[in-house]
Amino acid sequence: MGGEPVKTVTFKITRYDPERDRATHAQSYEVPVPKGMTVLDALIWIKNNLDGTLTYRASCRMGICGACGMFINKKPMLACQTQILELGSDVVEVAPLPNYANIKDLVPDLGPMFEKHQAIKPYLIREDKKEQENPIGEYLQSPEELEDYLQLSYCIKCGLCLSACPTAASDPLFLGPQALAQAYRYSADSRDEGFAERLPLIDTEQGCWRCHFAGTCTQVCPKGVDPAMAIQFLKRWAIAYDFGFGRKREGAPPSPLHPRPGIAKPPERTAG
Amino acid sequence: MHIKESTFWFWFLVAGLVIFAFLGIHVVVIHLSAISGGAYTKTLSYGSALQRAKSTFFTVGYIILLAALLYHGLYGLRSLFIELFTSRAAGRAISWSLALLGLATFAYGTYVTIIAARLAS
Repeated sequence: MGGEPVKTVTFKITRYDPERDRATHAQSYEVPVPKGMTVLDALIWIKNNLDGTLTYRASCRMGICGACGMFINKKPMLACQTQILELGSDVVEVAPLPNYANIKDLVPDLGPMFEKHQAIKPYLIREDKKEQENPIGEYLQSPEELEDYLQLSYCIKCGLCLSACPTAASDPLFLGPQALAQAYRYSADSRDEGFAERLPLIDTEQGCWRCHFAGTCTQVCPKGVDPAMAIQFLKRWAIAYDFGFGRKREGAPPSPLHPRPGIAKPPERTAG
Repeated sequence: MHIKESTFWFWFLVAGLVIFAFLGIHVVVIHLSAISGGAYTKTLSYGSALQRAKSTFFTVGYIILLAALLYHGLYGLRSLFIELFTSRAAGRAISWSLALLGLATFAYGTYVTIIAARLAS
């Protein structure tokens, strides 16, 4: 970003101070926009030059931390990844993400999303707990097995999917696309043996069955994750598991005791 | 006894397929009588309707179709209602109310079908 401003854009930003305001209100700022300026750059410029009280959440400014999710021109987006000139509008509306409580100005309360994520046990689960706590080797995984869940591992927990979900808008108890996609991510991992442990949460009214495949979660995801697809796969697995031919498979055994065909032998352990 | 949501969903899909199949038969027999081998007027004649009422195939078929229609329709209605009234207590009340309504309607519909079959014979 740099150079002479190409044009001046009006930013209509939702403001809310819980200590002073009863409701949100919009405040406008005129921002000179050079080529390459993102919405986050504009917010930083506004805070530095026009209004130091403007509050927003941001960190990496490069689309990897997920902190700067906002409702920009009525669409959930990452502010750091949104080029102002590509919006094609002289007025940019910036609001906090819907479907979350508002802490202040553009800062949503993402706590419920993290609680739901934690609830689905987003980690590898092994049936042999002793071995898991005292690992004797790596769990090998082929490139093909990695492909089964790789796309879903790109989730940065930005919360845009839950913000776009029409079911989450009406039912705060719905687990949501983020948690359900991660439930699939770990259950699809060949190293994991925990699908049965996650199923009591997935196979409920507020689990995968509340999803009606609107697909907006997939549309807004900035990292190319497809939560809608993952949830449909979860539905299939839940029914298959019900009838006894589900995901009752052994996870990848720890190497090097059980070398697996097609996978190169790992290097010998070094001393220590 | 706790029935998992996936079980309900599975039977919802099965009911949908049953409805498709049975309504397909219905359309062919009643409305596409030229294909099924009878004139339109003949299919809808009193005698023809009486034959179907007497027939075990149609009697059992009507009962199965009634069960599938009630289950599929009321499960869909339940999905709508529990998304409008999202508390767990409301969900339980909606589920039980629709289940009782469905069972009562099925019982009455089966009774009427069997009585009609008996009267027709």
